[in-house]
Amino acid sequence: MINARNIKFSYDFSDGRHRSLNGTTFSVKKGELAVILGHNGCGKSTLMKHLNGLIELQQGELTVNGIDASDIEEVWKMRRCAGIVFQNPDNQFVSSVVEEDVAFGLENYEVPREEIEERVSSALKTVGMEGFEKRSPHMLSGGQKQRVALAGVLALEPEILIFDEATSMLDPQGRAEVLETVKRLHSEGKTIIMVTHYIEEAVFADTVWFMHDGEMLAHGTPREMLTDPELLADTGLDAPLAVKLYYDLLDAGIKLDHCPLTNEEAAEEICRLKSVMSR
Amino acid sequence: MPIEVRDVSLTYSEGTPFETCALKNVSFTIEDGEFLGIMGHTGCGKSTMLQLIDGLIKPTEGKILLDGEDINARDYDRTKLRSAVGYVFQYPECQLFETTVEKDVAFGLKHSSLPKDEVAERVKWALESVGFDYEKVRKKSPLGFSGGEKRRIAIAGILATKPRFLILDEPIAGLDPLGRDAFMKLLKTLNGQGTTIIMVSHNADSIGECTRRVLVFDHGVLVENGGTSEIFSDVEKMRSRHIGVSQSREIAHLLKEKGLDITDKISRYDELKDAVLEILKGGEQL
Repeated sequence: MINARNIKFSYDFSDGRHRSLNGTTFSVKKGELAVILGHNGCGKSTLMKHLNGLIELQQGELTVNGIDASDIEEVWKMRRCAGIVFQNPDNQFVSSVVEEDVAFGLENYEVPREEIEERVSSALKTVGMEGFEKRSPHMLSGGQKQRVALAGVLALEPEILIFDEATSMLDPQGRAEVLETVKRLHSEGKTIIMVTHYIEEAVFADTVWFMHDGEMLAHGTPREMLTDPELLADTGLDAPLAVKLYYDLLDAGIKLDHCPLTNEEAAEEICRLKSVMSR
Repeated sequence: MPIEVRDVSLTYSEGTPFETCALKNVSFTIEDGEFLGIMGHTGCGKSTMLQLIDGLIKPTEGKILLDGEDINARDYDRTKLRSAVGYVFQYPECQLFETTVEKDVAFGLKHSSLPKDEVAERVKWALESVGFDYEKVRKKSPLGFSGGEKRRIAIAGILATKPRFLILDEPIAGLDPLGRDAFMKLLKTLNGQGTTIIMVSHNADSIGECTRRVLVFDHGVLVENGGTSEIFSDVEKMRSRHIGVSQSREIAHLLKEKGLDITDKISRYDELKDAVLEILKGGEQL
């Protein structure tokens, strides 16, 4: 679905010395849920902006759903193919009425009126915001705003959905709402890329990618990636709390059978060891 | 009492169809040297509360006192409030505007009576506090940095004014884990040096690690005001308020549900680790 090879990119157009992307190679299969983790300024957002042509390819190869990103004629097709939900929904509202805001993209693509109505209401339903059609997006809560922004993207029916830290400004409830929607869309077969700083959100991914200084350091299943303290440290990430606890217990001479990934697993492992001990 | 909020209510757009009651009858006090956390679901009135303390908006009812003086009184000298309180807004990166990082961070000090070299000293200190190499970044455009970096530059601009009360609205959302840790460490250091910190955050882990007291808002009402570990001890209640508890508290809660003997007074990771070690080491001796 997405194939990026050796992408190099610099915002500094004068001499191009400081690179945001420094030979990034990255791929996502159809229907996959990929999570990208990395520190601030490592190039995550720059890479995402390449995927729908917001940034022109400088060096390297990139195909998105078979569309070659270096072909400037094809950029509109590419944009339709990949939809991005950004961090701050306030920055992307264009209308003061929810349904008009969701319809904005469709109007630009000259979709017939009846179809717009249909798609808008179905997109709002998908994100659980039906009944809010006539409200002002600015008067909604953070989680609701983000879901409206997502509806605007969904209405365009893109092949690929990209969430660029879309949950970072939300409260736990809002985050849970957006994550539930992501999981559901994933189970319905959408290809999804999530950029996040919440390592807990990487747990349910198919593939986790670690990005560092404009390059992909490693990728693998959440269990491979998130239980490797050295790899996490190299990427500048903190281990999930359960993993941290496992290694701290190990330092204190206590070995749990398996390294847990979630809080629930941690509690189970500790209880199992306790019951073995008291026997 | 350094800061006292007395029976404050606020209604937005009074008398219009958009009329919303943002805060209802809120009272609390803030002592000097505190590290106070404020939590609550989106739209519960947290940010409104902060803006009231900073005098950016006026309450519909009630009073806010700084060192015993009503900050909304007609004859109140607002410079007292302005120099005492530093406010880091949500998305502070949106307020960057100068041509260089150095100028941007120094902006708040421009009209102060500080000598030039003192200003430069402060700017250097502020940028280093948020983890930048002063010499490397000072001449760059603040707009050319990544989102998280811009946030840290904007925060440096507030730190440079060395406020007595530092108010932060969701300062760590969007920062990477190391940035988050470094930033919380910085707040702890500032707090240790005597700065009173008032922080709104959804991040229960950071609240659990750093604060000693927490205020919880729910639909404009102050529903909890107490020690962090006491407030975190009631996991179900926190969940019902859509805020949740720190992960350390959550693991402790799961362990208790599974029948282990573990205290409810855990909010920080080191407390959890010690408790688990005691449980498992205790087993060894049997």
